[in-house]
Amino acid sequence: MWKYVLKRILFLIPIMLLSSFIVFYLMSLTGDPAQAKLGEDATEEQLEMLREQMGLNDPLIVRYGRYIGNVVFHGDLGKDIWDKSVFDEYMARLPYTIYLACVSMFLTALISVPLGIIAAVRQNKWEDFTLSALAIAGMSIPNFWLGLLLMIKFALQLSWLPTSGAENGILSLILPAFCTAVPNAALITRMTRSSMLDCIRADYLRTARAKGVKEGRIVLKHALGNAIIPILTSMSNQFAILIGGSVVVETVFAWPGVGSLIINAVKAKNTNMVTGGIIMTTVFVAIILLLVDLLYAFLDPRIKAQYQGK
Amino acid sequence: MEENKDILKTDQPEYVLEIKDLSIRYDTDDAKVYAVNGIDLKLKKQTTLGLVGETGAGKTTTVLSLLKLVPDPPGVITGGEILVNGNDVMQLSKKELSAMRGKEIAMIFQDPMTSLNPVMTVGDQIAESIMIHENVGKEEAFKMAQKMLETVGISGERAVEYPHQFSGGMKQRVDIAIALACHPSILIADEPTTALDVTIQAQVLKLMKDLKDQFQTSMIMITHDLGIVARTCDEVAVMYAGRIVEEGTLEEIFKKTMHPYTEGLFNSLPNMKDRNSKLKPIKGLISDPTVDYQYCAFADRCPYATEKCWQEVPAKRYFSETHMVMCSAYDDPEFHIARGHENG
Amino acid sequence: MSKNSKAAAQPKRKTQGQLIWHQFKKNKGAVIGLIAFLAIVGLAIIALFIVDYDTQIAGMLIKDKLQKPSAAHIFGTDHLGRDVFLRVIYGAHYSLLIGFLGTGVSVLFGTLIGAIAGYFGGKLEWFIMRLVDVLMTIPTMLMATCVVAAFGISITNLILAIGISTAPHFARTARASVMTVRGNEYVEAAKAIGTSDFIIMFKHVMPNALSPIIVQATNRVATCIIAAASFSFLGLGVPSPLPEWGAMLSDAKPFMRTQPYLMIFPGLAIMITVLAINLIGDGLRDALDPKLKR
Repeated sequence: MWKYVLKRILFLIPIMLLSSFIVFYLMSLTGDPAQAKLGEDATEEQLEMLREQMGLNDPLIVRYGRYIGNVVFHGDLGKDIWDKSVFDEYMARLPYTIYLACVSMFLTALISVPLGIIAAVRQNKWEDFTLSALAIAGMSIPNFWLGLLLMIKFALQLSWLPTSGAENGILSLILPAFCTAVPNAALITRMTRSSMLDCIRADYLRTARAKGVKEGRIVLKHALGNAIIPILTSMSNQFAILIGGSVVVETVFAWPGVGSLIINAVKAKNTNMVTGGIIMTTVFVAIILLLVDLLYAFLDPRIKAQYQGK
Repeated sequence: MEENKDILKTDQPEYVLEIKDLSIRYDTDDAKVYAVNGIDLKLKKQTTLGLVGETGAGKTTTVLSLLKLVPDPPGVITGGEILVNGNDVMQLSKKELSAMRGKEIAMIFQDPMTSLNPVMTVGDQIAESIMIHENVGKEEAFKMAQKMLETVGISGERAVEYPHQFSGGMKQRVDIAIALACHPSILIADEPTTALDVTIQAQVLKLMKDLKDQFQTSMIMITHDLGIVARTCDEVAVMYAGRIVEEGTLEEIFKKTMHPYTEGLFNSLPNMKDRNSKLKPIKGLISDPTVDYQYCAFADRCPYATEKCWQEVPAKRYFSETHMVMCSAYDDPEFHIARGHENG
Repeated sequence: MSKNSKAAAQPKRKTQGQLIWHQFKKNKGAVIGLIAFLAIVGLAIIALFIVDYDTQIAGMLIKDKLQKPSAAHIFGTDHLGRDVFLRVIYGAHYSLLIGFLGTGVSVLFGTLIGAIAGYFGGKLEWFIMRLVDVLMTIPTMLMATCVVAAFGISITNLILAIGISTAPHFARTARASVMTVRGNEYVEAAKAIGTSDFIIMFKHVMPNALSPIIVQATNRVATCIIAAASFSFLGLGVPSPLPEWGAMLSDAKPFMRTQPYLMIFPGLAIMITVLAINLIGDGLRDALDPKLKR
């Protein structure tokens, strides 16, 4: 078991190196960082001097090696165009994104799992039709637009909630968390429904019923116990994506998370910030997904057995 | 034979299960499926009734209805009565139903691979039943579950293992343990050995028979294997197209076969005495369950079919107190099927 | 012989397309989605002919600016006096083009490499799938952001960004379904009679592996449209004054306090289009894979 865990962690390293290289390569195409730093009026000599000083004349692979070396050994992602540490800036923003992701995910689970169970239990009844219609509508609504509409209603017209920023604690969080939760909840509702339906038809539920197990326990213990595994997979993927930054919603509500940090950096041609931000996010997402994967081993006896077999 | 009849007369026949004129239909998007069409069945205390017939004859639907487990939708019980120990199953409240299932009537399913919950230990799955029906706590129930496992020939230590850690035959033993955990008065076994290796089949059957005697349980054994019927059953009911076409004691069905369909079933078995004889499978295909037969459903496959068979549902005819046949051909007092005649 | 055996003797022969259509028709939501989708496509095409780009889309009619919805302008007018209804229907073709072309790029690359990996197996498969693993660790939106940042802001780059970022998902689906099909006996049979790999792949394997890819692609069109609108809203997609729906929302943002109706219609257009496609996707899923039917 632990051998397998170790193997998975070791395997992550080359994947992270490669993916960060891809990002590094793509971002090297954005333009000349020296130009971005000195502005349009810089002379060719000034530019050339700065390039030499920044090591921009070295081959790509050398620059990447130096970059990743600094990241790994010094936790240094370089400086952005305003000479601020990319790492510090990123770390200052990360808690906000984690905060948003957690609350959003909590809302998603709170809304979607019960609704999905109801839809499955009441299959082909009006509850099911209503919930399925709501779910597909929720999947189809652009979350940033929903955010804008809710902002107009609850922040501008009713003034119940702040329009943007993070100064008002939980109040500031309500709208962004809700907007990011809606499409996710819609997806999980559908998923819970179909996963539950699979289990509801399973033979072992018939066995349980034949034992005299009551309907409530049939649904919550026997069916949900089996249906929850794919649901958790999806939710953890969604959580990973949220940690990657709800780029648009964060921007709409000026939520100071990593998503809006990266988007603003792209707009400002703040290349180092974009590179560092994306690489850091990728690493975090990969670690979360790995943790989730390993968590399954403890949840599902079948998977556990597979791992132990290895 | 003589003795048997005497027992029947002196001992008031006590039925643990009575089915009266039961009809069940499945209403799907595409068609109506007439699964069970007015059957009557009685199960005496401590006897084993074999329910025989081809796939799709309505055997499983019949027994599922005894526990009110016919999936609804699409299944609809369109008529009839089911009395388990005198209680009408259809009239039971949810609470009463839950109390009945597993305690008065329990079931062993066909496929042990899918009938156990993959994320619960087998001990918990047995203990669950015990906790519902017996007034015991969790630990006590688990201990009883371990004892039950040992009764079916599995070490009690394995109670903490999950179903995927057991082989097919072992899983079926676990199924049996679950079903018998609360000593039900009726045990239903739906083709309990079909999914198992031939070598395991005999062991599992023997186990079931032993336990049935030990727990003084009545049993309904669904199967399409006449060999299993011969080994385990006291009485036999032959089903075709949702009707019981012949019913009687083991001896009556095997030695005094009356119905052409039953004859067909016997003829399609290999003859052990005469290995050169050819198999005579029943010609044609099994009846179409989406047809509401208002005549004998077997008529188009029956070698003895007459005009009359196409006109009405055959009446029930009793040839002894226990031997019932549903066949219009016996309107002619001279009629007999080939099998019984050759043997006689 | 009985009546039913005669009926069973002559089953109606239907082509696969007819069977799929028959199943699809049963799903009311899917039919509504299909009708709505065709209406949207129809409007988008009509708009290209009746709307004059220079005056009505990119022009300026300051005297008419910021009018509430009325008989003359049913969706009102924007801050430059342009009719919002005309802009919305003219903008439909951007969303549709980006959605379908983006998905197209993604399906083409993804399916191709996934199918190659799944069909040939071995070291090639290992190599391709590890590359896919690598690409999949980068979150989709960030990958797209990266591509847009690298190549600059334009419609083509947006299509590429959206296409490339989701291609790995298709590679996985394609590989999985090809591997399922590859094991089937008709493929073994084709190999046994000496059919070339190329022919086997395109004639025998792909058609049978296609269902899950089609279903996933339909859903992907919907998410692509939302992603495209998001990027345009952020100013990283279709640039103003082109009336892409996300860009229109971005234009309307400064007026959300005073003219909230400007926010409603472009967003509603996105939602209805995406909803129609999602409904079609559900219908296709049920029709193509009866096993998945709920």
